[in-house]
Amino acid sequence: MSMSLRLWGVRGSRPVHKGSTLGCGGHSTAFELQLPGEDFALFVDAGSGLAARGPIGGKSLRSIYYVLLTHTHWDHLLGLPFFSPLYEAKNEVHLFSSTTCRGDFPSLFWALFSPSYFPLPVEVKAKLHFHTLVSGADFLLANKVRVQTYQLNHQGVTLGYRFAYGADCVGIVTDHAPLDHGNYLGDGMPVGAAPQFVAAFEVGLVAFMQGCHTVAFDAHFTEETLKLDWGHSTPDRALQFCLQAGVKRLILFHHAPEDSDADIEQKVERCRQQAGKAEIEIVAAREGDVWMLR
Amino acid sequence: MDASLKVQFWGTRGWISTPSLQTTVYGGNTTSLQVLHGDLLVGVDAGFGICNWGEQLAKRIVEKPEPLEIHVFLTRFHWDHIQGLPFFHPIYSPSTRLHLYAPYPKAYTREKLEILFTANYSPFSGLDSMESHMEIEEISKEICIGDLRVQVGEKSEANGVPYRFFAPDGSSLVVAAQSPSLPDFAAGTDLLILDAACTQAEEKAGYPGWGGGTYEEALSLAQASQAKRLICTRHGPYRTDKALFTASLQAGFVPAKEGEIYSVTLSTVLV
Repeated sequence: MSMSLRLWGVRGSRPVHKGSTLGCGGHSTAFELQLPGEDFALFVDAGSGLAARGPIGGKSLRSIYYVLLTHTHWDHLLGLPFFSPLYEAKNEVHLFSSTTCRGDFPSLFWALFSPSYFPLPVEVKAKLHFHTLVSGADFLLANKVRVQTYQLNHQGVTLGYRFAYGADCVGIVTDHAPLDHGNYLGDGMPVGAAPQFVAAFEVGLVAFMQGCHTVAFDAHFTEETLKLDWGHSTPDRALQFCLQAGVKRLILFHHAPEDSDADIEQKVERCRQQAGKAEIEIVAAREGDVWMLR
Repeated sequence: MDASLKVQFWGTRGWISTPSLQTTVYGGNTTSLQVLHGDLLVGVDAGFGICNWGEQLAKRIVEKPEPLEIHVFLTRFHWDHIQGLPFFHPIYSPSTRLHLYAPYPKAYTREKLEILFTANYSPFSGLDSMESHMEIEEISKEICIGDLRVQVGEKSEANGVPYRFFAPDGSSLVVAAQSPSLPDFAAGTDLLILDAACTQAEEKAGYPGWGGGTYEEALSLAQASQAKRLICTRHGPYRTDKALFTASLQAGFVPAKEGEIYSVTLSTVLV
């Protein structure tokens, strides 16, 4: 009984294709938690990486699909209409999203398929189940996978995920910005400096990540390029949280579309130097990679 | 400044971006192209390809900080024709003036584009929250951008609207989806740029080109238009370089390559 993490899309903001990004890959964010032997499949986020699985019309191997969204921004959502299991009547697809206070999830979902934007003559035939999640949710998926959520610092309600299955445990922490200088972006977060909120948030995030062998963490910017209100983090911040939480492997994730493979390599190198002798493996998220969680 | 008419493809893919090692020759960004004429900045469609153009313009803003006047003609509001807009670098610069043209009432175009910038789907809070000046303009038959004359074709729900760009020397190019009325509009053009996703045989067999038009139909439309040259673009999303190359040899067409600049007039006729 084991779980592994497959990276289908590692890019933030938007998919990008050019010669300098082929190494790490250009698809926007999508993960799969591979669970050999289970009769369901589990995906996190639905960026263009989800479309890389293959064209609509392909036959799916399983009949129950879980797709959990960190949030509904384009780079995490735009692959959804190309998710082939949606078009097979035999399938049940469970879609999980945070409670966005500005629109209800089913209508956000169906707008993607509106004929004026997506004139594809195909019909969603799978049985759909919409679920909304709040921060602090803690439940068993298919009676097998423990799922926990934690609201991150990003526009709207963005959820970090923690998945535990047997002895394996993994965290997905994206999108998230540092809370420096009163930079509180999420719905429901305080306005103006609130040091107590920051302290509680950081303690909470460390506790949330504890026990995770591997965490994929938003490392869109570097300390030099950081734009706080854009809602993204840096390798340094990712490392600090991972060291405090005792995480064994940090996957630097959500690469900026402007960053070349060489830029990303440099980011990883600098983060490794920063970590010094600490016992943590630091890697760049690379499309197609599959990580065992032990 | 070179006044001859040229075209550069920034995005050549239909439906969804397909960045991969199998798409490095013909490209993997959704559809967008630039019409080059003198120092004008003119584009057609705003799929994710437009973002690579935006990166180039952003560098130019840093090197030579002067206001940019950019003109983008929209053929359709389908995702792959508009989704790059919120990530087009120049719109984060207050000195940019971006004109968006479509043959619809302004309010209609605005409503169609607004979804890209709403807080439900983006970190923005609406089109008006962007720093640049974005001006949506309704066009009907013809408009001039400097000395570039742009003709607007017949619009339809399925095929969007074709555009024809004329340089002062009379040379022209047409950007269009396949439609029965095209031969009149594109008559005698130097370069016809048409959507085409697969062969007729593949379409029958259910190739997931999803209605992008076939190469055979593109060739016969080019012939009926008496176009001097045809380039096919908006490649099927799961079409590899190898398959596209093979198909282009068999059917006899030129597939658009991302990043490549094509002259509109050539001394040799390629079709």
